[in-house]
Amino acid sequence: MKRLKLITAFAGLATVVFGQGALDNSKLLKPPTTDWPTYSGDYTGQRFSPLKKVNDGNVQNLSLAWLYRINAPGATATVFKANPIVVNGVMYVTIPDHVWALDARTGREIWHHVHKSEGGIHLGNRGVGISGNWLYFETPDCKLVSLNLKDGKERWQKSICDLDQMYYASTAPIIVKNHVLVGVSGDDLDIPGYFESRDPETGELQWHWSVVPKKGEPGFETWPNEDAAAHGGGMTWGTTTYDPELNQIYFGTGNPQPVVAGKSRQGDNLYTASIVALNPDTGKLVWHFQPSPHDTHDWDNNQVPVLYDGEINGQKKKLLSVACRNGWFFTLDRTTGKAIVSKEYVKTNWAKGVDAKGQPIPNPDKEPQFAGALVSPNQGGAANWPPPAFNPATGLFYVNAARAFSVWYLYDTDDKPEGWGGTDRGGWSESMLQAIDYKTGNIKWSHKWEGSGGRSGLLTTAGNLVFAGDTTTNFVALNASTGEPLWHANVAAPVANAPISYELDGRQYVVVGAGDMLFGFVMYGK
Amino acid sequence: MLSKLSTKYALSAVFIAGTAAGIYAQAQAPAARPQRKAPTGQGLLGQAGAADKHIVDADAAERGKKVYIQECITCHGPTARGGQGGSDLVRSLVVLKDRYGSEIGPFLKKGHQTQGSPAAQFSKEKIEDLADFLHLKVGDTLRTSPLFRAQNVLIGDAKAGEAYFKGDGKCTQCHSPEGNLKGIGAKFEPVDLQQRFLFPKPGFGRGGKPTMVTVTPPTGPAVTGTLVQIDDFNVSLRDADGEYRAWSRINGLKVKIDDPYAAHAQLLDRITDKNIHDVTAYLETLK
Ligand code: HEC
Ligand code: HEC
Repeated sequence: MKRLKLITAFAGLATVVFGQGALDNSKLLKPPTTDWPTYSGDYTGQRFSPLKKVNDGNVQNLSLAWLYRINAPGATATVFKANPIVVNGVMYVTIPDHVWALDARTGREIWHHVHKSEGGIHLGNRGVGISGNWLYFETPDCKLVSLNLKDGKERWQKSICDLDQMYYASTAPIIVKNHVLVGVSGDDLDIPGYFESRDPETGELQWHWSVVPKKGEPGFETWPNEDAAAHGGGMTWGTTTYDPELNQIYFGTGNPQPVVAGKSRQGDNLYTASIVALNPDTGKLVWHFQPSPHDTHDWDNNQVPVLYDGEINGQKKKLLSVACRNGWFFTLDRTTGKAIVSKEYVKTNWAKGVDAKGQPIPNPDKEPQFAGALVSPNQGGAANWPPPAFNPATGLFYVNAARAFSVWYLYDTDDKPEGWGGTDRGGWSESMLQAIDYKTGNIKWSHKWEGSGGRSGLLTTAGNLVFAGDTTTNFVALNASTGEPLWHANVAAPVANAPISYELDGRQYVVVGAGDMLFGFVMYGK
Repeated sequence: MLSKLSTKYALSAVFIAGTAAGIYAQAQAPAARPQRKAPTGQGLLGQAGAADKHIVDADAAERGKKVYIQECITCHGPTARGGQGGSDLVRSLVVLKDRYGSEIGPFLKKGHQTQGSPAAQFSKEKIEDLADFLHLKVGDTLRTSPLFRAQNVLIGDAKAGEAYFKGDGKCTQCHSPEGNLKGIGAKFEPVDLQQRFLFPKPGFGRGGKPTMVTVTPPTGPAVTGTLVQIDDFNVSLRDADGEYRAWSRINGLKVKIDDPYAAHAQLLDRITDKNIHDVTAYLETLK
């Protein structure tokens, strides 16, 4: 019955003629094996590969099959922060304004598309989304661009945000049924965040969800006035996960604005710094949970809401877990958004406890001060955009975490602070890979990296492995149950994205980006 | 409308690039005006906005400020963020979409209220100067603004800071005001002093005290030296003779790191904000 429903959900797409390399969108509903067809591998956000040709017993034999290096004169942000997508043996990967199709077996370039830019912050691009014959990506100058998968030729581009308000776009579009889901960025001019669904054929708007409610809507009471709400921020640059049975999509929202000086936006500032569930067909809010009420530390809550089925007090539940930038880990009932676990996954110093809903209560003394307040985490946060992973076999949620201190200063003395109005300075930090028990939030194991800095996204596999970048330039495989490091390769630059895995011709590949290079590792033999 | 706008944008882009100021002058402004160069050294943050965004000319903004005070300030406020009756201009789309008066001009020409002279009769120069001033005010709210800087951090009690330094802070274990912290208050701005005592470990390539490491192989003597690199798999150091030595971390190799900054890292979990402000006030007196 359930299966039937899912099939009909894709019926619309089944009528078009698929090209050789086209994605059969039903693959998005299953854990990734021969493909890695969407940002997290599938809709769950688990970044779990069911492949086990590479495992804790043989990972020492993983070897380098290929190395791809960016050759794009004039490109500025030449670091692979994007998650590669693999469909039918072809890998699609990006940096801002650039998309490449590579042979996933050899790393050889098939085509290269360059977007002519009209501006915007070239911070990073998280990758492409694919549906059928078509590829979608966002650009720093606020465009959603659609390319033909087979040759990278542009089909159309649509503006999805306003450069004059200093928005920019970087997220990897997520395809859910006949919706291309896009988010936006921009933290400079006190602008409202939103999230949109676009038509896969034309790029036209299907629905627009405003992160901050308008006067008269629920949640508006968490803002002092219309002006503050209209400039309230809450960007949507994270990835989106999806439960086809509940027909809900999940994503996190960014910090409120003005970013650091919160005095003219007293209140919780919904739905910024929140986790939200929306109906993908209507864009209507189903529930919300706010990890950082009235945030003043740039703690965007755009970390991946990971979906899985688990057991709480002997009862099977549909769950969602997030390791937030503010240092807290939450397990929610994803049907309702009710908190089951609220716990720090690194020690922090900004919350006074949790309220009845399980949301941390910010300590006003730890809001930024003119003379400075020492706060942990720092602006970078305990986690940030690099995605975590969840392994259903170990029941552990993995996150590459940092414990960091900085001093938070208010700068803007105006009665009406605007822009950031302050920032944090300096710092000390340490880094560790945390394996968290989703039922309790307890740390099952913690692998402390030598040194600090550097953090990568993660991949976990049925081979009882977690793949991660360390704080130097190593790409590391650890035992998923114990945290023991088992294998590494020095990839000559800090790991810059999250690894992926796929199987072609019976061989399992693991691919990771470091600096301007992509490394394709493979297990030969048995 | 759209195409007219984009021609204007294209023209100002040419102007900014500085390659065809003449074309611009012909099309837009009667008198030659100073060429505008995008500020450099703003990195990633400087990329925000459109490639052809308005670039502020400081002199024009200064002239525009006078016009603003004369004609606009009572309603729109001293920082243009809104005031008695006037809306917030630094968040106004009329201003954000403007290039050198392209939107502000037509808006005012429609006969906007002012403090004196009729807006409809404003000269082109006056409008451009106003535009520069308003764009400057927008820029004041950005992280790239010279105004984006710390305020007074000297709110602490120097006496209490001294007591903490000599007492609970245990600073005297390693420091003294007459010894290695002599004159420190004169060397740094207060906010830098505060940062420095909380996070003394310098970043990459900025010197500081080396981290020492002792490596003990299962057979053979321990080797102590300056840490070069360590990860889960390898460790390397430079020994007392300046020799580079490296090991794989296998077969029970023992590694002991001695971080000279460890006491400062531990302090972060203990010290209160009041202690911090007091100690800064105290260190400031060590001139
Ligand atoms: C007597 C009060 C008053 C004075 C003086 C005044 N304004 Fe305004 N201004 C307003 C009000 C009220 C609004 C909002 C309503 C509107 O758009 O007319 C406004 C709106 C604006 C807007 C459009 C804002 C938007 O986003 O819609 C601009 C631009 C502007 N003023 C510029 C100026 C400039 C430049 C001057 C001086 C030359 C000036 N104003 C003088 C009251 C004033
Ligand atoms: C266990 C030893 C130790 C203790 C205890 C200690 N420090 Fe330090 N401190 C250091 C070291 C080591 C440095 C780094 C010196 C260098 O980089 O050359 C340092 C640096 C500093 C600096 C920066 C000096 C400069 O020239 O940049 C200040 C200021 C300072 N400490 C203040 C304090 C204060 C205040 C306390 C007590 C709250 C304290 N320290 C406790 C060891 C210590």
